[in-house]
Amino acid sequence: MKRVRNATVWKHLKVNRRLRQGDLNIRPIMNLFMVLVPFLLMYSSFVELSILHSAVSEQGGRSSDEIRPGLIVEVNDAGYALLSHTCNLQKLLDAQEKVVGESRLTIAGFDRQQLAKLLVGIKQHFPKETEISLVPRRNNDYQEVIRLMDAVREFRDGNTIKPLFPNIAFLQPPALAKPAGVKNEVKQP
Amino acid sequence: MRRSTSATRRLRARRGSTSGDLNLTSLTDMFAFLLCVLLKSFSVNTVDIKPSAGMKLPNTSSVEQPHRYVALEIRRDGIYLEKDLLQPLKDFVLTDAGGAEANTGNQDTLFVLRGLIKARIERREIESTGMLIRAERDTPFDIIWRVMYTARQLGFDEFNNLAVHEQEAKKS
Repeated sequence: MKRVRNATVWKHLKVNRRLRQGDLNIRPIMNLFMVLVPFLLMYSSFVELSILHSAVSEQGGRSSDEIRPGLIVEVNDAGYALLSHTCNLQKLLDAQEKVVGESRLTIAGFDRQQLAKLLVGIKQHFPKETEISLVPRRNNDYQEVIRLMDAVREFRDGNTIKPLFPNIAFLQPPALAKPAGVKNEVKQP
Repeated sequence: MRRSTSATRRLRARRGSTSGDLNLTSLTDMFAFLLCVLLKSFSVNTVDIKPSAGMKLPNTSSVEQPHRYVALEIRRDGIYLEKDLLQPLKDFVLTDAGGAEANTGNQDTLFVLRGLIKARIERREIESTGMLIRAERDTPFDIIWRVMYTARQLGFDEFNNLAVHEQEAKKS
């Protein structure tokens, strides 16, 4: 009985020895990790930053023989207004007809989805057109302006993204009404 | 009997030395996990566009990477060009230091800012015609417009408005 017990002990000892010899030497890997981790920490960016292109434009625009939409989105107290000095947008959307003229479509309640849907309709008639001008109010927050830029740049319908008018230019916004005697006022009180 | 005692003693001694070794397996697991996380967020973009600490950028759905342009930062207390204060502001409103603008016909030009940027262009410290605009999300458009309008007069024809990608913003 005792002999059998002794044999078991020796067997365990041999197995243990074999395991120790077969273990992976992970020290070089650890050294590599110790170098890699600080290096990657240095060059990691945990917040993804993006950009939106814009430009400053003068009123007027290019003269051309072909009808171009020349779209302007104006932000006013009531909501958005979609303007064109060169194309009748109402006729374009209702009768699918490109007619020279001026038009003003109003979108009440700052509904960006509705604005984007109108732009999708216009884009179908002018697939090569990429330019649009924006006239935000001077007291609009930067975030609101960026949201508007996103709305006119592309239209997201579920997983599909339709490019609209990515070349965005800002036109001079109307001046804020200043109280008498106040100079250099930027934000409306 | 003697033999068995000495064998057991040797086995115990071996076990003792084994337990004294550092157990690196769990540390390796942790490093492997950390390595995966860091590799995922590893940025190959070489442009340094990190905004100042505490600055809340607007959110966008755009995925375009920023370019290497001169960076103008609009903070609550002033307009900075590459960390140098050019035009002081007080809660996004021009202070007396930039007061020259008030009595001129052109209300949108920031003359102090224009003079300082022009000097840098003349010293060839600025050579690009594009400008990266970093501004707080609650900055009034008026000040952004005036900065862009002033820069336009100096030959800047492209503006990159920096924002945080929407999905990242939702996570945070």
